[in-house]
Amino acid sequence: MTAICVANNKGGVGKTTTAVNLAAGLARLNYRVLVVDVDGQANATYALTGRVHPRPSLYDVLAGDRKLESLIWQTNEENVWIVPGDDRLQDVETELAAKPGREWRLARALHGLAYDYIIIDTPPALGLLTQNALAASHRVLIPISLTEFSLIGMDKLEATIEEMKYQLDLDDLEVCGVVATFYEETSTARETWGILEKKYEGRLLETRVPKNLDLEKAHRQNESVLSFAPNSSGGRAYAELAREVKRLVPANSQPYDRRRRLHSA
Amino acid sequence: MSQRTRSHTTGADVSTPPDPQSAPSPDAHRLLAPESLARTLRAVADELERDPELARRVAGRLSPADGVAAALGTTGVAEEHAPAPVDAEPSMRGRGSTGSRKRLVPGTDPGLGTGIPDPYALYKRLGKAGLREALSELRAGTLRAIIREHHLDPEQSLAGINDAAKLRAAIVKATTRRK
Repeated sequence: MTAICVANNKGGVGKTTTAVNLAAGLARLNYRVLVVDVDGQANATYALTGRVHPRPSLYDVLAGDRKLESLIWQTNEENVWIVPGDDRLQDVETELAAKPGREWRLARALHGLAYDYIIIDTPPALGLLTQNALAASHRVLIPISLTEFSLIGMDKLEATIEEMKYQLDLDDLEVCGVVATFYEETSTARETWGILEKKYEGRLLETRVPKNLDLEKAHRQNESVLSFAPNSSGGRAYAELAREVKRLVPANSQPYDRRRRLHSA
Repeated sequence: MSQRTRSHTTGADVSTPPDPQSAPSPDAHRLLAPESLARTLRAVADELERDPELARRVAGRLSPADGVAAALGTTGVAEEHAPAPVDAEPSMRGRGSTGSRKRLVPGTDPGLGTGIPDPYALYKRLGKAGLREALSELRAGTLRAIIREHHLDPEQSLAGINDAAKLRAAIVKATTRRK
């Protein structure tokens, strides 16, 4: 099983849209995909199930009150399951701050599950929830909208990943790619793309997800754009992104296993 | 003479008794502004709807004769439509009391269960009208998933249909047709 964390500490860059539609795209390639909604806004949960802040949720798992297996929901997308989130996740940062093994709670909870991919949607912050997501992941996918503002803060995300790798002994945690979202053919976008190409040589994904209203409409209908409008520009882009991610991060049929790290944690 | 002051929570003018040291009078409940009381009760009702466990615990603390317990446990509005005995799930069946208030975003009702809603279970529990009402919470993606998962459209005649009203009608028809 391969776990991919969709992360960027900047909000509004398309993290949830990417997590939801990448999961749906991989499912269409006949993989079994589990989405984990680590964001207290729980937008991925809503987009895939139509439920708003359902309870119990991942919060209860991180708090130690529930087993994660009991909270795996079937979603509106075939071959996609989700561990839902709810707004109480916003309190986790303070509630778990002094608890032992606080960064490892998600990894422990996922132990032994058998899916082809786990896609983890994260909040726009680098706190304990994102740290749990990173500790539970093998790869990080960074969505970035091609604006000047988006470049600011990328260094902080990279520094956090490096710090996590060092502090938690996450040898194999790597950024598998940076994907451009809300793409429009403008001079600013082209300039930003050029900067990213130099900075992320070999890791800037070929797929560019365009600005496309169908992406938003699909969320509103509680399904992926691949179900709602597969032939839209957004639908085609996420189908392509899934193929690209599949090439870069092959699925692993082995059950999720972090035992080495759990023992050292 | 009563004093006028401003509520900390509502900002509304409320009357206070002249002597704050005196014991509460039997009319003390009148001091709570109606809007504040209504807002508080709505917040409690929302929380009960969102959290079935909490609703059960609250219902357990109330005597069976109590109106709230009765509404939660045995005399839900939808029950009169139910064709079969139902479990003690408090949500949806107590919706009659809050049904006039439109939610900003649908899909908050825990009575829908987890994952893809089961229309047969909803029909059994809520009856046809209740099923129709429950489906009104859901949008096309979830409705399509219900049809797919419960094999309600073997001829694939609904493929490609995005009209939620048509999908809801098809689900109700297929679910209630099956014995």
